[in-house]
Amino acid sequence: MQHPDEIKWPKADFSRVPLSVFNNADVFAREMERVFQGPVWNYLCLEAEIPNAGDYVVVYVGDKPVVVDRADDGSVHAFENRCAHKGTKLVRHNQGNVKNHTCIYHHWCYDLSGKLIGVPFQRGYDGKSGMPATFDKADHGLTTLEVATYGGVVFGSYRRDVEPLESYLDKPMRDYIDLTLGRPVEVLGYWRQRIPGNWKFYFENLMDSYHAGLLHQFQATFGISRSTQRGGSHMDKLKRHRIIYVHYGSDDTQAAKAGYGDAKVIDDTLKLNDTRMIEFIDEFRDGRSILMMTLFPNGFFQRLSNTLAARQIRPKSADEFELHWTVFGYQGDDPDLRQRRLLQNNMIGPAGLVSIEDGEVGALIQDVLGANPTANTVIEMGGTGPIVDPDSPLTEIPVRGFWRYYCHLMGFEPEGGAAWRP
Amino acid sequence: MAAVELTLTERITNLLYDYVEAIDDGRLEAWPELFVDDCVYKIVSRENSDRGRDLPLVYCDGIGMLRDRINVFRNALIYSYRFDRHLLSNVRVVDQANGVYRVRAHFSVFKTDPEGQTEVFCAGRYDDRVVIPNGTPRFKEKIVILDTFNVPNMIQTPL
Repeated sequence: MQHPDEIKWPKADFSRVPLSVFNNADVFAREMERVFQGPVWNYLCLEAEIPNAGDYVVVYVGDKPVVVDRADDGSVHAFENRCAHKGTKLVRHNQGNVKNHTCIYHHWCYDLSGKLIGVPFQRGYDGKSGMPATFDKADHGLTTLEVATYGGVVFGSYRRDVEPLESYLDKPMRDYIDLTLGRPVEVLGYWRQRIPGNWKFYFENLMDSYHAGLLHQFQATFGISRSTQRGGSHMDKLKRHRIIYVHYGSDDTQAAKAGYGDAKVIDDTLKLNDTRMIEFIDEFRDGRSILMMTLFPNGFFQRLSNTLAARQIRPKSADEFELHWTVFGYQGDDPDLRQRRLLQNNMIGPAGLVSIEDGEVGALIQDVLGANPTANTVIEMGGTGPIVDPDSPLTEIPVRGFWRYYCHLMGFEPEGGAAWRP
Repeated sequence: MAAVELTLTERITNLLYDYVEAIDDGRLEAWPELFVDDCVYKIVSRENSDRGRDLPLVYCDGIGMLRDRINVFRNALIYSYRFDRHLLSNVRVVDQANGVYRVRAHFSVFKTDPEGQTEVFCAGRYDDRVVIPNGTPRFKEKIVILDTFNVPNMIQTPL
């Protein structure tokens, strides 16, 4: 297997990706350190999941389990789920409410901010034993992350010198959060799926709107998202995050079929007995049946028709990741809207009539990589020029933006060209 | 072979056997027909149901939605087909009221890929409401509670 130091990026325009980065365990180990523990803000959870003091959830940053909780003063904290004493898993449930976190092994006790507050028999017993006088609880807290929240979304970083969250997100992404999470959220539930593919395939998939109207025949047929619809796209200043939207009903079905040409994606013989699943109502009054936001390196926020969800990418190895979904609506949704969201959720998730195909693609890529893949992928839809906000959903330009920032963090330099620097 | 007289419990149990056989034999179009028109079919993750969260993985409200799921699966979805094998156990009629029988059963599903390798796909239980219109048992409601809430890639065929 190629050592990461030996990897040269094939082209300085990032229009090629060596397939070897998709199943190389050494590359994976470097990603955990330089990407997920790099100068980035990882998406952790929604504040609505931990509304009260003592509430916690266990999430993942890269392949590391991280506990996110709320302290008595309302502040949010995040720390690795590992006791500082012997490395034992500290929190053993996915979520709950506690006064503090006590390890089962020797009952070391941490407060909700991760500080060590109790060590049984620190002074020994009956004048014997105990920790040495030099032992200071302040030296043995949990491994904490920097935490910042924006609009009810909790982010974490391993780097103390990370740029401020608002600057990291940049304006289009802050606007998205203001719009979608600017009112009290009700978490409807969670889904999890283990996808036998590399996490970067999935991040690429989220940045790639070229596939959306082709792979997903269901949403193309029913006009939820087609390559022929009017839409738009915004990226951040470093082109590592992306927002994409599509206007419902902005194309004509016959013209769309002509546009697709030989690609027989729109099937007007496909009819539903019950159309409630695809009945979009314009609750945001912006006409958009798709509004998606991808946040480097692990977050995705989805508005598809009237479904709302946050997704977290949880890499497990070079060959597998978990996709974790937090599906939500809003507090005060009337029963009709709530029911509509639940029925529309048939389109997404591990059983979703749209989204299962992305998991299938991940498996199909990973399945044929082989031990030492030497081929490159091709990323040229929309051109290989400057990485700018694309003017069409038929584009892979944002995919090149992802790889450019990834290579910067990973130290992969292009052959025959200068490395890109932000 | 002469017909064997079956008890009501056996006839209800056979509905569950017919159900898993329709799926495992690949006769997916027969699956919705084991339900009454005004039915509910849900797959819920145990992680959610244990916490009283509403969100299903699959939610069909009425037989039309069951038929639609099979139609979309056959004609519009892209997937690698795998053979299903349900193992069913602990089938019990636990309660009845006003002609509605509550049936509980445990199940597991094995999947076999195109290269002949079999893996455990999931385990869970059924919480069913069965009615007997015109003398034939049919599902009024079928709730599939999935222990395996970390789904191995995707749910394609019904569970």
